[in-house]
Amino acid sequence: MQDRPTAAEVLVTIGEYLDEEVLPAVEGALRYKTLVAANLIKVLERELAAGDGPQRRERERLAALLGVAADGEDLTGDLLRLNAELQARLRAPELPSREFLLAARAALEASALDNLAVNKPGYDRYDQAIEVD
Amino acid sequence: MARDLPAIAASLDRYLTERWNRPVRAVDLVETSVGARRGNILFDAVDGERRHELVLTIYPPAGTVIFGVEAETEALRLAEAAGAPVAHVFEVCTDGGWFGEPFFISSRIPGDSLPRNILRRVAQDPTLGARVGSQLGTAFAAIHAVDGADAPADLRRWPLDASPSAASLDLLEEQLDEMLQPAPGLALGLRWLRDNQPDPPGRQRLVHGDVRNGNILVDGTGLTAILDWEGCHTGDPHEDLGWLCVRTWRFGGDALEVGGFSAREPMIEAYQAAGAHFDPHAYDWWKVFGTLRWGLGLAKQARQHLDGTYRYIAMAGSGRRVCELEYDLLRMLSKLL
Repeated sequence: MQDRPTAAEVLVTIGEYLDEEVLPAVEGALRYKTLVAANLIKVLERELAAGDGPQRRERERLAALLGVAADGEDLTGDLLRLNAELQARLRAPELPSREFLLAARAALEASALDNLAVNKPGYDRYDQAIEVD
Repeated sequence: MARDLPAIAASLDRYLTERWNRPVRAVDLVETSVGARRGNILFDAVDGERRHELVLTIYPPAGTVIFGVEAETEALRLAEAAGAPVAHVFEVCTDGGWFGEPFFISSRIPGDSLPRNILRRVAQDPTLGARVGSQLGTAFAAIHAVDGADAPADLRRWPLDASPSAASLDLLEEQLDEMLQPAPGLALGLRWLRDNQPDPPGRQRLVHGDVRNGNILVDGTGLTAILDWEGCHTGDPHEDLGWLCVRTWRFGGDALEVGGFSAREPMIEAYQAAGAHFDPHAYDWWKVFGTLRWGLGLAKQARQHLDGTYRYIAMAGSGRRVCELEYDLLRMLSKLL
């Protein structure tokens, strides 16, 4: 067992330090880079809190879409393989069926939403009604 | 790294005195965007009783630019002659002996370029946002009135009889190949773009290529200039319209498509009123293209950070922004597929 503070507690501590002590003391380019760093700390906090649930759900969606089995120990390896397979199908010269494109779009949006929940919470609140006709 | 402004001032004194054939002194030098590869230095030229407000633009090292200072300044002159609000070019020099690289000197135009300052101005003046949107439409019509055949040959990314959409897609395909991990969401966007290309424009036109909130100057009266012509090229005018309206450039003002400060309509109405042709499908297509282009651009920034080409924390952060563009792309495709 690792000694306290936990990884999550370390991240919160670094985040507080950047927000409360460093940011008020820096300006210009240094302030901008510190804001980026403070934001990335919060991204990591959320990623840690989310656990591997998002990746497992992504693997299930992609395996179902592609009609393959993927349930081994190597979650990251499976995700790289499945995403590469989907990308290859989408780039193949022959036109995929409309049904496949729609199912792929829905699966990819679900994964993008999970990524946004970690990287940019709230980004999906905007309804995009005006974007295209 | 900041530039050596006293040395630059001394070189400007000698250059302008020689060129104008009378004593000139460069004073009050300020470097904008310190550390950028392309140098932009604001200064005043004291010329007897007169003071000229100017900008010195120093090119980045050769090999990192697409075309030279002569092509860019010729595009600026064409745009100015067509009536677009751009800086007036006074001096162009390809001799690297003065500042290390070629440079040009242009007029300094008043206004804010920082997006948050522009959005603050718009929040304080309820008529300003739509006015800038409309002025951008008029400015685009002027730029796009320049026929591709009249633009400098260096600005032709592809032959004048090529399809700009097909040629542009080839460039994005290459960028997708270079990604560090598979990105099927971006590949789906590419698939839709490949299968739904708009009719090519009757003739290619001068296209700025990077007009967005961040590359325009706005003051209390409205739009004062369109900046940063280093990516201009010949192509489909709708590329400019779609790129400007990518959600990223709204900085939170999501409901206002043009830079977060104006709806689309004032821009398109002014564009058409000035005689330019607008095709809604081409607009949608280039907006999807622009969203994909920037998603790939952010991924490239993260890649350059990770492979050590350009180690910079903000570019690491860019990698975690790719999902924003992917999400916007997939939402647009929910209507278009």
